[in-house]
Amino acid sequence: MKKPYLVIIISLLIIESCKKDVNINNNGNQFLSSKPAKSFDGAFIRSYYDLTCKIVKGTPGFFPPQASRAYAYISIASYESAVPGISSSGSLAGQLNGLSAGSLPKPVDGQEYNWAISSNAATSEMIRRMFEINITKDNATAIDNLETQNKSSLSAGVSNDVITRSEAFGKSIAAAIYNYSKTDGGYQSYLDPFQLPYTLPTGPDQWVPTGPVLSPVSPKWGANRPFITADIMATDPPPCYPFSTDSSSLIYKDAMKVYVQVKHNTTEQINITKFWADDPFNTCTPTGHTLNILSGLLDDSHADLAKTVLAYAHMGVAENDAFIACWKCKYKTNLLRPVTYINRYIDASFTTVIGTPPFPAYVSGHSVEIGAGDAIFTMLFTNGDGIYPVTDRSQVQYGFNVRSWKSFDEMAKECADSRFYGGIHFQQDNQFGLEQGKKIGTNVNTMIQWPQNI
Amino acid sequence: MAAKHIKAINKAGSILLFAFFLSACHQKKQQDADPQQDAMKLAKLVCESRELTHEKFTLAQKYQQLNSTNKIHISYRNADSTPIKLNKVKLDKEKELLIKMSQAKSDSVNHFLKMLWVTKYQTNEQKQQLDDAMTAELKKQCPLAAP
Repeated sequence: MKKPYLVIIISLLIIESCKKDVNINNNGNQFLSSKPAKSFDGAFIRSYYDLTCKIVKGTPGFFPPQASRAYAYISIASYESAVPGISSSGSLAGQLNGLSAGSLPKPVDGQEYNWAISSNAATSEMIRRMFEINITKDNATAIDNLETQNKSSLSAGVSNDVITRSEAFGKSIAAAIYNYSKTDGGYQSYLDPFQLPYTLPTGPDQWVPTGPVLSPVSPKWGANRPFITADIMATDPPPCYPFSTDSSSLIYKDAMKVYVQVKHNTTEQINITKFWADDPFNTCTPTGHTLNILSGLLDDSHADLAKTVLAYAHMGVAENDAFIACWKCKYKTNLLRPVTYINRYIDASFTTVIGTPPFPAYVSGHSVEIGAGDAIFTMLFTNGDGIYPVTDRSQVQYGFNVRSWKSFDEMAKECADSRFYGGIHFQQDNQFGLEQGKKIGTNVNTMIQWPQNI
Repeated sequence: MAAKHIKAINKAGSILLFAFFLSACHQKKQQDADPQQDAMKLAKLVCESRELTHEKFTLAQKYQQLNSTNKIHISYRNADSTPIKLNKVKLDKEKELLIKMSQAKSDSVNHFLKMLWVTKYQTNEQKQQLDDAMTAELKKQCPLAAP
């Protein structure tokens, strides 16, 4: 042998590359020969969120609250089916309202699992269940196709018994999370998004219909069970400005600001309004938009499976709670929209830039959800200062330009301001909504023991 | 026995060489990324999608005007043939078609976008180049401004 050292190096390389990562969890549990979740590419999970956006758009009854809920449970199922491959103490069981410790299926110690295959099974199954009754045939087929396609690529080189065991674990997680979802107050709410019968409160300051939909969306949504165990009322914004038609009152001044703004919007402000409007008909709602931004950031960083499922679970939990808290406030206050106030007391011919959504004004749903998103993005991608070059390419599909910001705060503020430029929210709705959302996001970051250093 | 080992090592060497070859091809593919050319193709699709989104905003305005009387819900429920009801039915049909066309266009834009941003353009610098080229192309190619 002329070059023995070459032979040794090559042999070592081969041995090293063939070694399997052993997944040892924090408490010493071992899933022998199971590769950790971080060793898989997370792109296949992100493809499910692209599909979910499309399904939200095409399924009747998915208004913003319903969509936020569906995304949340999908993200929890994805996470729980991969978390044994991340950390033994990372499960949300025992940490979320109504999800007791030990209530979720566990993988069998000593058995080998493939966490990518298990999360593929859990995610596809959970999407089916979240849209089950109203889903179109085409979308149901799209879920089947994506699951099969992912399974096929993830199964290369994996033994049949590992595939079967991992899939069964993933499906059992989806079934358990689905059962958990049935008791939160929003179960199959897409079949009755207006929660009728509902009697509209009356009074000069009270919400009245402003467009084609005469019943407000989901007036009882605020009574749903949030995920975070802390009192959701602790994030409540201050009471809205007292109603008055006096031109020196805070609410009159706020309405006048909307009126003047809409009259003098720049082209850029109108672009911003429409960019964040999430298009008038087939939108995957504000939550879908925020998750699309998250998907883009995860794509850009080529995030692995662990980081991907963790990020979506963070965001899903926060978005769900943001909508519950926001809706609770909306219907407690039941404040009329700026267009109603302005038409009555300032200018009867005033119209908004985009259609006013069919629910009360205080606080703004977009602002609360992006505020919560801001806190989650900041925790996931920065050292806490929120400074990060954010680019949103998710709206290009609708013909919008790419938009970029220097920080998550800047992005969130623009989103909240867009509702003011559009004439559909008072400034108080956006300002206090954004603050409320940030508190909710911070609670999700701090009150749940998430796996660290992922 | 020695011959067997040499054979195995040769095989491993071939695998390594093949891996190097693949890696080189991948780098070459990334070098081949042509932001100008890709941006031109992408902008064509995005412009078509933009037109549909403009139509959606216009249609949404029509709904707002139609319903400003707040009578539509009542007439629709009564299933009579008032002009409001007939207009609503007409708009609903237009909306249904528009949503289908728009979704199909979104799908094709997204498919192409993913291919570029996830597979072909790997670094932030490359992505930025593509973003800039696309913004310029949209200005050049699209008859309509951003919605």
